[in-house]
Amino acid sequence: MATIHATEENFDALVAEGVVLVDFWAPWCGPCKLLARELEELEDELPFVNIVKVDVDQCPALAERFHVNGIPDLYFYQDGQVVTHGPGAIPYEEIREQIARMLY
Amino acid sequence: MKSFIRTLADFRQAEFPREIDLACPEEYMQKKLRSLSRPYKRTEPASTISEGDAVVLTLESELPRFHRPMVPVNVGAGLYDAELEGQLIGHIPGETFAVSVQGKPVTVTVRSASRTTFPEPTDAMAAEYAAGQEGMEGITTVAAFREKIAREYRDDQRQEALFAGMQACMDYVLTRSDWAFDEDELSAIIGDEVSEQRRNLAAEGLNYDTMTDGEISRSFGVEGRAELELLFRQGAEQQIATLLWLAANHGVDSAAYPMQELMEQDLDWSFLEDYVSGQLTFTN
Repeated sequence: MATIHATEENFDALVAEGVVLVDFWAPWCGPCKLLARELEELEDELPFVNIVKVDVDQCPALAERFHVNGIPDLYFYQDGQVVTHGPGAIPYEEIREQIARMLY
Repeated sequence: MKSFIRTLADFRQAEFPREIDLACPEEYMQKKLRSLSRPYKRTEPASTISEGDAVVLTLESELPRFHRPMVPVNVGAGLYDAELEGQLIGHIPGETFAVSVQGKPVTVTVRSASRTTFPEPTDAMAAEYAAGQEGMEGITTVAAFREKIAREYRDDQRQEALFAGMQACMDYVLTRSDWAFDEDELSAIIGDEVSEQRRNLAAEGLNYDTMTDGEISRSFGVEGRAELELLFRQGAEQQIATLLWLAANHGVDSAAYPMQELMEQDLDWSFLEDYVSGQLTFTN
């Protein structure tokens, strides 16, 4: 699997199956870069977890739909359903633990 | 009546790590070096399972947690079950075998196994990576990148040691002092917190005042309203106690000020930062 950049059109299909992390971000956002590095490392460690990135400037309707008030905002999806989400650059260990709760 | 300090513990009695090793561990360095070679990483089928491989298993067991048709696992990550993961090493895709987990037999079938490998980073990779990154100006070799990582690690360790020391002092004081809390002051802070939560929840179409325990559990990760309200109260007590302690360290007679006025005073934590900094010694 790989990190995929979502559009307004393909978003729902991308989160429909499996464990998916949705990263609401923007290129100008410093904390988003910190989270992006964590997600890259996560992809190395857990290649069976899908990562979908949503640029809030490119996809304003998605940001509005999810009431994204600040970025980064990381949503945890499982088979098309939101399990939880957390604003800010969530520590790597917390992301791992949440994924483990969802997978196992 | 207002909140006040009955007895105040001495934060200088708090224990925290005072000698800090700043040498960057090689395992940490190797993980960071992957930033350079990540565009060139390769994921291929693994012929024999080893640590770090991603595998998909079918498990059969009387233990519900280990009776699953398809479960993805990173071997050795310890996310699923360290005992099971350790017994996968050396087996091959397609193989079915028995292991023991928590003293019970588990039948494992390896559906697939893959391994991601990173090539040795080169100066060309370092230059390519640096070209697209802020703060990487002048980093054109692996050696320079290693030095940057080691420097950042040292800075992080210093900062973390300072925060850990300050936190230990704060915890020491908050748990060993005796505070008298005024119910009106607590209510005011709790009221502000509830108002903010009301606004946040309303933005998600939820009504704080009518939410069921189940809805509260899903939104806040607690058992229900009783636990949430207890957390609000504990948070308010901690806020008041912290403020009283801060005021005491600035020579302010907290009993003479309403809590709101104390909150608005420009009281800083430099006394604590200076104390902890003076206690730390760094090696390497």
